[in-house]
Amino acid sequence: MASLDALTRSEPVNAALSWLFASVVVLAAVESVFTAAYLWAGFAFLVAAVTAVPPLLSGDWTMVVPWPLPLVAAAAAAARAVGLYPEIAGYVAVAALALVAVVELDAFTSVEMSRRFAVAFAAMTTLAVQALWTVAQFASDVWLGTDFLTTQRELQVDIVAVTVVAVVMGAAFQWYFARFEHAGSHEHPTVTRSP
Amino acid sequence: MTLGEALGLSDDRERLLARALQAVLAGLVVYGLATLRLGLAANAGIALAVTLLPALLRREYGYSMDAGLVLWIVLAVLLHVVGSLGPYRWFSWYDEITHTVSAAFVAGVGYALLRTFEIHSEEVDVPSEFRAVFVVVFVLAFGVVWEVFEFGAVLVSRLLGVRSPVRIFGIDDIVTDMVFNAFGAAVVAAWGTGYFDGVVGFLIRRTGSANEEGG
Repeated sequence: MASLDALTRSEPVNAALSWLFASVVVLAAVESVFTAAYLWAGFAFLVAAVTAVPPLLSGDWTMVVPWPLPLVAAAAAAARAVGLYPEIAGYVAVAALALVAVVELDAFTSVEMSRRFAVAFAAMTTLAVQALWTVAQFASDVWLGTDFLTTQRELQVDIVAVTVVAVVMGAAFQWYFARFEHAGSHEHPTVTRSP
Repeated sequence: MTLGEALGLSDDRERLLARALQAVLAGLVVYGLATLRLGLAANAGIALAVTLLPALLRREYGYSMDAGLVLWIVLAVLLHVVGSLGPYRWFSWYDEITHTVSAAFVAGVGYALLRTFEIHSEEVDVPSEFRAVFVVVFVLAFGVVWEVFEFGAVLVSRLLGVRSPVRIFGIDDIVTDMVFNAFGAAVVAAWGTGYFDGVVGFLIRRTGSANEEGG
């Protein structure tokens, strides 16, 4: 199955861009450590780490996900770092991580997905993470005395917001993947770099 | 061994039990209409309609759903309708039961969909560990979409000035819903997917798969 495999091809330009954006995510993570936003710092490091898994395992630095995925993650991390719509930026980052993970699952494990299925699964994962996140915040409020969840209304608005983000991101990448595949299959065939 | 066998229920018994529970639902519709509790009548009416879907499938497509599964659907909706009569407000654990039961059903639907995609599409092929993960993700995501629906239902009801069919009792209500959705999903992911293999066969026939063994 090659619908998503072709996306994680070895191509220096794509790789350079992906690494650039991944380092922006790391910078934002470091910044979060200094502002004591540890939870968020951990999450940003996780995004960067997941992006770096295939090149680390394969030893080929060009084997990374398509650059728009790290770009979105970097944009979200940067927006969060400067305090621009931090909630929405967080959801976008989760959706980006889900997409990165799904693309890598398809490319490097025995999990095979069609493009549409992969995008839908990434959107579902985004929503599932929101559910787990809500439970974690609630537990933290109850046992650690934090103040994450304030009103029911706010939580519901959050839930609606994350659903919108998941759907919009899914639609955007469905469009991107489809376009990329058409344009890419002829003009940019899969390159295997010789050592 | 199925759950029904474990409880000593034959298919016929399960069918009979499902009919009895449907009769209770019908009774609630009549009671709601007679006492002019229209909210109750509508709630029970919709639930009864849902329980008739398996019969509709049999009539339209000649597909007999597993008796245990039909019983599960009837039980899930009946628990919900009875709950709105009071138990939801009286017992905090009641909501947890209904969510676990419904989540288990949603998990089964998610599993059936995934299997259908797998058999139907050459591009989708996943190992069994992934299936379990998928089922849990599917239910958690469905739970979030459900909360969006509840939020919308409450807003629309307020705009129309009618009583909302669903009610939300605060943050802890939403959170417990999510916890017990996950619980129901995990139970099905671990043990219960076998119940839904019959549904998979049906979906594959309906989607007209080229794969012969699906029929």
